[in-house]
Amino acid sequence: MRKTYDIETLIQNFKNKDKVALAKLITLVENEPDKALEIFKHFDNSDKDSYIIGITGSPGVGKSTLINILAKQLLDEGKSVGVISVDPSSPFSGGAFLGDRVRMTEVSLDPNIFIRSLASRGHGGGISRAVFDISLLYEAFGMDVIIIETVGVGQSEVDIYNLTYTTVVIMVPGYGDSIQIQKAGIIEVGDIYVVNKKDLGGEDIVVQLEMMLDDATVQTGWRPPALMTNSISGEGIDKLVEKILEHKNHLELSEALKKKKKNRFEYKIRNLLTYKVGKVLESLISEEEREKISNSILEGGKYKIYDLVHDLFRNIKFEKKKESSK
Amino acid sequence: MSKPGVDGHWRGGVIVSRGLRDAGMEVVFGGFQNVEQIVESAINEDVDVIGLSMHSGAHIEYTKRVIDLLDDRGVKDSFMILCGGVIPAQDFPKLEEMGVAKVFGPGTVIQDIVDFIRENVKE
Amino acid sequence: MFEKDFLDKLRAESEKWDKSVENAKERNVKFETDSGIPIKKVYTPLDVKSNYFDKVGYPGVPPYTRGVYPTMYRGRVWTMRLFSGHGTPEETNKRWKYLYENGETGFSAAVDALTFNGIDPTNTDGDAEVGTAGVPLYCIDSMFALTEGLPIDKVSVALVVEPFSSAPVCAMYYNMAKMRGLDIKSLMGTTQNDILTMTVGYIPYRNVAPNHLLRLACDLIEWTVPMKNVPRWHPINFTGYNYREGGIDAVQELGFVFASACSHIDNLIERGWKVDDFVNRLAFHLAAHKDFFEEIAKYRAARRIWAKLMKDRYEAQDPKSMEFRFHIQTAGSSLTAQTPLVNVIRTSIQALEATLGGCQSLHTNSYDEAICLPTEEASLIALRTQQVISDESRITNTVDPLAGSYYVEWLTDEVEDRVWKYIDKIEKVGNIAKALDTGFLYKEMRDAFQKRQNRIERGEEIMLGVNKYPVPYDEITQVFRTNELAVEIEKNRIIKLKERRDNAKLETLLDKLRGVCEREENVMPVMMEVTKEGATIGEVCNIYREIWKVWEPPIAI
Repeated sequence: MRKTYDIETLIQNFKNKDKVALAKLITLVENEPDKALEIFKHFDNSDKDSYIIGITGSPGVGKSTLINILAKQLLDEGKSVGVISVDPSSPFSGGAFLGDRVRMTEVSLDPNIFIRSLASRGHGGGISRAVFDISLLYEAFGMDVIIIETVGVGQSEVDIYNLTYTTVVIMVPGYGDSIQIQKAGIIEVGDIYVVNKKDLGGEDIVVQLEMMLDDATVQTGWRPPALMTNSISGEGIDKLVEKILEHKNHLELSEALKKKKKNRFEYKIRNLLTYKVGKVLESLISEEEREKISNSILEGGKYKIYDLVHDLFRNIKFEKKKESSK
Repeated sequence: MSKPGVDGHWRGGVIVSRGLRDAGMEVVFGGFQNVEQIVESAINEDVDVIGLSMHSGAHIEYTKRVIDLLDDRGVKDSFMILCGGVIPAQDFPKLEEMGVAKVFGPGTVIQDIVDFIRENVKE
Repeated sequence: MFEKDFLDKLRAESEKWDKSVENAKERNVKFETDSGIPIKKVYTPLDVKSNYFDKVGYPGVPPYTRGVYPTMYRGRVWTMRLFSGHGTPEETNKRWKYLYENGETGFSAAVDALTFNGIDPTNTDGDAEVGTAGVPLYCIDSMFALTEGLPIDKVSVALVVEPFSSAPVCAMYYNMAKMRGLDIKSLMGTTQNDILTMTVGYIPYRNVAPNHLLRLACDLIEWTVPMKNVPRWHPINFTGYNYREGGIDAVQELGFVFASACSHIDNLIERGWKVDDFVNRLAFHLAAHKDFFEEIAKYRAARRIWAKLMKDRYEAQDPKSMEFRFHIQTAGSSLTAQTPLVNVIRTSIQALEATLGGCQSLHTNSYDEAICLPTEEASLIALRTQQVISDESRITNTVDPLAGSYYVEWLTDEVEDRVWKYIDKIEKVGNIAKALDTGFLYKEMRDAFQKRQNRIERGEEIMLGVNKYPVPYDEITQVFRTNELAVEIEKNRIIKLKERRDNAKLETLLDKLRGVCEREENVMPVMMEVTKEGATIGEVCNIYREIWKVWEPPIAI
C-alpha cells in the first residue's frame, strides 16, 4: 500500500497550493533526503521570505497550546502559517509519540495553516534533520510565518537558534526555577522569554529572569523581554505577538536579519557537507574495519584508539577533481 | 490515532499509541477530533494508517463520515483505516465492507495490532 | 482482643506449625491481593492486633466498621438501582417501568455523551452519539418524558451527571418536579456531581478548568443541603468506581475519593458553613472488583476512616456526619466480551462482596456490558442477581457477618493503614483541583492502567476467555442497538421547545447567568430560572465555556 510519489506531478500540484502535495513532499524529504536535490531544482529564486519563529521549552510548559493561540492571531491578521512540531524519538525503539497536534485542533481547519509533526529520529534529541528542508518547502509554498516547535533538550536550543530568526523560550513556575534558567546556553539563546501558566504564580521567575538578563551580554542591542502568559485564557498572547514584531523590526533595521538568514544557510551548509562527507567515508571505510578496531581496543588497546583511527586514513586521500578546462 | 466525536473514553487509544511507539512506529496523536479534523490531520501528516478509537456505539456512523470525506478530498486510497474500541463482532463485516482494513475489538493484544500494521503497510 | 495467656500459647503453637509446613509446596503464583498486599497461608487471632471496641465495635455507632445503621439490611435492604438509559427519554422511561415492575427500588439515569459534555444535538461534532451510550437529557421537556408515570416522590432518582452539567440537569429536574406539584423539600435522589469522573476517568470534551468544576460541584451541594432547598437530596457521590475502572487499585480508590471529599468540604467551610450542616448528605460511589475479601475489607476500612476524618480533622459534632454511605457498581472492567454468560457469575460474586460489605445502594452489570448497552433480558438478570442475594441467600439475617474472621479483620486494618498513607501522598500535591491540574492524578491513573495491562498480557492477572482458555471474539446472540432516529427526535424536541419559549426573556436570563459566572457566585438560583424558561444544556454550558474558557486536560502519555 506504500505510496510511490511522482515528483513531477507533486511539484505541479504543490505550485497550485495543493496541501496534499505539500504533505507528500515533506514525507519525501523526511524519508529520502537524497531526493531533496531533485525537488528543490524546481523552484526559482523567489523574493518571498518567510519569517521564522522558534518556540522551545521543556515538555509540559504549554508550547503547543501557546502556538495554537499565536497561530490563531496570525491567521486572523490574514497571514498564512506553517507549523513544524518536533518530538523526541525513543532512543530504544526508534518510535515516537507525536502529541503536539492535539493542542492545535482549534486552528487545524483554517485553510491558511499547515501543521506537521516530526520525530527527531536520533538527531540531537530536540530537532530533526528534516526541519530545514521542511521550512524551505514552506517558504516555497508561500507561507508568511513559519513556527518551529521543539523540546528544549540538551543542544536543541542552540540548534533552533540557528534555524530561526526569533527564538522564544517558554518556562513555567515551579520546575526548580533558577536551575532551569541557569541551564547552560538558555540565557543566551532566547530573544523572548515567556513564563506560561501565570495563574500558578510566575512573578518570581520573571524577577529572576530580569536580573539574569540584565547581567547577560547583549550582543545585538536587543534586550530580551520576559513576559507572562496564560495559554488557557489567552492572556498575554497579544503582547507576545507585539514583541515578536518588535524583534523582527529590530533585526531588519539593524541588518541583523540578514546575518540570521545567512547563519541559517551556513548552518545547513555545514550539516549538508558533514552529511555528504560522512556518506563518502561510509563507502570508503567499511563496517568491518570499524568493528576490527573496536574489538582490538577491547582486548587491551584502548589507548591506541587515536593511532588506529589515524591508520585508517593512511590509504585514503581526499582530492579535488581538476577543473576541466573551459 | 484519533477519537471521533465527544465520548471521552480515551485510555485505550493512548495505551495502543504507546505500544505502537514502543514497537518503533511514529504515532501522531490527535485526541478528540471531529471528522474534518481527522481527515485534515491525516493529510497534513501524510500518515500510513488512520486509527479510529470509539466506545460509544456510534462507530458505524463516524467511520462512514471519515471515509466519505476522504473520498471527497480524493485521498480515500492513500490511507489504511483501522478501528478499535467497544464494537460488537456483528459490526465487523459492515465496517470492513466500508473500507476498514481491520477492526480490533475488546480484549485485543497490542502485539496483534503491531503485527498487522507491519505485515500490511510497506515500509 | 484476646487474653494474654491464650495468645502466648497460640504464638508457641503457630511457630511450631509454621516450622512444620516450611517446606510445603505451593503453586507458582503470587499470593497477594489485587492491590499487592502479600497474604499468608493462615490468619489467626495473633493477626488481629486491634481492640474490639476501638476497631470493630457495633454497627450504627463509631467506629462504624460494621455498618452505618444499627439494623442494616434487617431494617431495610439496600436500594436496587440499575444504571440505565438509552435512545430517547421516552424509551428510557419504558425500561425504567419494566425494571420497577420487576422489583427495582431506585432509579438511575445513565446519560449520553452530549448530556455529559453539555452539548446540543445540533453540534455536528457529536450528533452521531445522541442516545447511543445513555439517555439524552437536553432540556426540561426531556425530564417530563423521562419520569412520566413514575413515583418519583416515593422512589429516589440518581442523576449521573458531573459538575460541568450537574447544575442545569438538576435544575431541570427540580423544576419538572415542582411543575408536577411535588414539594422539592421532600424530594429524594442523588446527583453524582463528581469532579474526577470528568477529568481523570474520562477526557471531557471542551470543559472548563478543575477549579471551576470544584466550585460548580460545591454550588450544587450548598444550594440543596445547607441552604435547605432540597434537603433530602444527596448532591454528590465521590466516585471511585471510574478511576478503579481506569486501573488503580483499592487503596488508591479510597485515597482519591477521600482527598476529593476533603477538598469539597474545605470549599464549603470557606463559604462559611459548618461541617454538620451538610456532610451527612455527601455520599460515595465505589467499585466491587475481583478480589473478594479485599473489597469487603475496603468497605469496612472506608467507614472507619471517614468517621475518624470527620471527627479528628473536621470536629464534627453530629454523629450523622460520621456515617460513610455508599453506592456500589460491580466492576465493568472485569467483564469480558468473550463468552459473555460468564459475566453473570462475575457480577454475582461482586454483588455478594457489596452486600457483605454493607452498601446502601447497588448496581449490577448486565452480562453484555463489554459489548453494548443492556438488552431488557440482560438487565433483568442483573436485577435478579441482587434479589437472589436479598431474598434467597439469607445473608441479610445478621449485620456484618464476616466480622471476627481473622483474615478479614487483619485485611481491614492493613487496607486502612495504606489508605491513610496514600491520602497523605495526594494531599502533599495540594487540593484536588491542584492534583488534577498538575497532572499528578493522570499520571497515577496512567501508570496503574499500564501496570494492569501488562499483568493481563503476561498472564499474571487472569481473564478467562481472554488470556486463559482464549476464545475468539464471538457474536453474542443479541446486540442492543439504540434508536437511530434519536438524533432527529431530540433535534425536533428542541425546535418545538424553542418555538414555545419566550426567547427574549431567556436571553435576559442567560445574560444574568453570565454575570453570575463572572462574579463566581452560586449558579443554582439563576439556573433554576433559566432552565424553567427552557434553556437547553448546550446553551447553558456554552456560557461556562465563554466566561471561563475551555480547559486543556494534561493528558499524560
